[in-house]
Amino acid sequence: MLKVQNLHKEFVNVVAIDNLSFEINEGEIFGLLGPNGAGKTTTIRCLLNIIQPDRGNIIFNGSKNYNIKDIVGYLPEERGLYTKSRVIDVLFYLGELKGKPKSFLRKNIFYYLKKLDMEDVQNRKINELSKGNQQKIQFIGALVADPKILILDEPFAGLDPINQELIKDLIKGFLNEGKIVILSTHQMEMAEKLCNKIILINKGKQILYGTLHEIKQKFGRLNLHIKGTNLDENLKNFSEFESIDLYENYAEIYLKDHFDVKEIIQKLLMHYDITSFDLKEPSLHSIFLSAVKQSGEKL
Amino acid sequence: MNKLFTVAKWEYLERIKNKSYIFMTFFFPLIIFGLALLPALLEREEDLSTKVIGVVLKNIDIYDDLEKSLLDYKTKDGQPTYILRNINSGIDDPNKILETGTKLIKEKAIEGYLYIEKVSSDSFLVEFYTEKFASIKDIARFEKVINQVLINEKLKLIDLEPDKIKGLTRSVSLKLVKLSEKGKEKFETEKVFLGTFFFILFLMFSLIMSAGLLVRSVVEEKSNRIIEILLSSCTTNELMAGKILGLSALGLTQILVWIVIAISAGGPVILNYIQVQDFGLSLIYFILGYLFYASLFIGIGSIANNEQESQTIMSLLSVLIMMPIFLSSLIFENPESTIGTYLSYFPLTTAPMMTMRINLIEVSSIEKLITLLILILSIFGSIWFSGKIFRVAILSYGKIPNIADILKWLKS
Repeated sequence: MLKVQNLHKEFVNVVAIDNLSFEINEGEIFGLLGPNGAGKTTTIRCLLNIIQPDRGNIIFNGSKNYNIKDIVGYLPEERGLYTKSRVIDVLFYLGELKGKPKSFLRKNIFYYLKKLDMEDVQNRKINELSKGNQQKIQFIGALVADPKILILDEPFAGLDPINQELIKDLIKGFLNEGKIVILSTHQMEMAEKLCNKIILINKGKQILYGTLHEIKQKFGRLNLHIKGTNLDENLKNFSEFESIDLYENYAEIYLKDHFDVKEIIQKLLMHYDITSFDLKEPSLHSIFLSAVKQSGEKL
Repeated sequence: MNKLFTVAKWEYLERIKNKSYIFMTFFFPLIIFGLALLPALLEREEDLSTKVIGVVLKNIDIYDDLEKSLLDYKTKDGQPTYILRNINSGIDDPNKILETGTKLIKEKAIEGYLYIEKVSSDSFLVEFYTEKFASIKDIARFEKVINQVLINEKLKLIDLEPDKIKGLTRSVSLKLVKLSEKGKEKFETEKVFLGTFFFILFLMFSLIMSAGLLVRSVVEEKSNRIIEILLSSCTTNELMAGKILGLSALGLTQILVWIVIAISAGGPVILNYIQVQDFGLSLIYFILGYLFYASLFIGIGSIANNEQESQTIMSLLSVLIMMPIFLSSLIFENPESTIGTYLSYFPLTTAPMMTMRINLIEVSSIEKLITLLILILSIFGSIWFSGKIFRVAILSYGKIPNIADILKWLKS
């Protein structure tokens, strides 16, 4: 388990991270979410011990005495590799920097090259590869030393759907071995599909934190989508509705908290000819937007 | 520590394969040595064939003397290089002479002709007429021989025997003997000056090469952001020290190749011209000076964001590196000068100044010890300084930091 306690970092006149705390269990994908400039990169750099936090503890499996650099694999958002070097040399170098022997690395490198269908590129120079393939090589670079924690910053950006699926499979395989993935992304849909737990930060502060289910329950309002033949403006007068998007024969209704959905549906059926209805959980995207907006107002 | 060597190994092995490095290492010295040795080689090259040179003499009779003196030059097969041909027998009209000479040249009967006229008792007109550019070597020889012959002519006029004069005016050469702790040492000033100068030139050259490599290596990793991946695996100190070690080794490899090329190309010839008095200690100053500069450069280089900015920084660093070369003339003129002593204690010039001084004058052991200590402490100082800058600069993108920013980083 990775436990982060009261992590705090200030730069000149700016609080980059403000007392962040979170826990990640083995086998979990943890979403580190937030708008641009929220403090995600600083948090990652603190986790990687690239910069020193002013305060706070990072505890792995109950201990502070470990070298994070040897157990973590990192894929930064900005992509770049030694463009004039050979694929195989770069992968060996990245692995050796983690202190792993060549024999161990050779096995892993060929395993991942095969898995991503890239065996034939091992002797090519990086700049001879397509952008997507370069990205996959960088992903292999993060995995090659068999890390216990994988930190991925926008891993899917710029990848086509086929490669996205390949990477997703690799992440799942990694998790099945009981390891930890920290995923930083703006793609809420992806975070919603992949993450077990998320933290949403803005201006260094924690806005939301918990499992996806908990967050949706706690912070999200249910959406009711209805179809009917005689829907009209009177729908806007329902006190149970927070807001409503009304179309010709269709409406998306955002419900207020603490109302019984069953009663609302019965009430609607009494007034309108409803042909179908669908109760939807709020998307992480909408939670993200409203939470960031609210936090901005508070700040 | 292992990671430091992993970085060093990578920097060394990846860059040694670089085409521009290979070019600079193997072809550059060949070009330089080629250019430097060309005149000497030309001079030494034996003459291939005999040339017929016309001679026109007016109011003077030195034909036999000229012929005799030029016979000293022989072709490869032992034949005379120059055969003279008198082309003005019986002709006095200058136009006629010109006509005859030109005709003979056109017919390729002669290469060209010498026109020597005694204008007054002590002045002569000497010209060489030729259709194409005459070789510098030939001209130099003619000049030498004609001067000699004419001087002898003048001496004869005042009743002096040329051979006696030669004996009377023979100069002596002053041989220097350096008294040192080791006793008497033969000291050939020119050789030692040249040897010392080469040593410093090598230091400066290798530093310019390595500074370029160091700055480019950081800027490349910074601009393609791979630096963040590296720092997720090793510390900034390991990365920086690994780079200094790997790229310094690369620079020193280059020097080694140059030396090997120089020695194999003209070994004994070169050793005839240069001499280094205290090679061991000079080498220690060289390596320490090299490490000091290299560790300083990596910190300064890390503030650049792209190739363009690194070029600007490089040109500033080059001025810094060249400084001792400009100052070297001061020391060569007077190795005992106070400024030389002061500059020996100033870390940026300690290595080159001390290399010069220990080779040219007797420097006390205490002074050697103090300057070595200064250099070693300066290496640690510059590693500390560069480490502070490197740590922040490699993760900062955007504008080049100003002095205030750098001071802030140093304090943090």
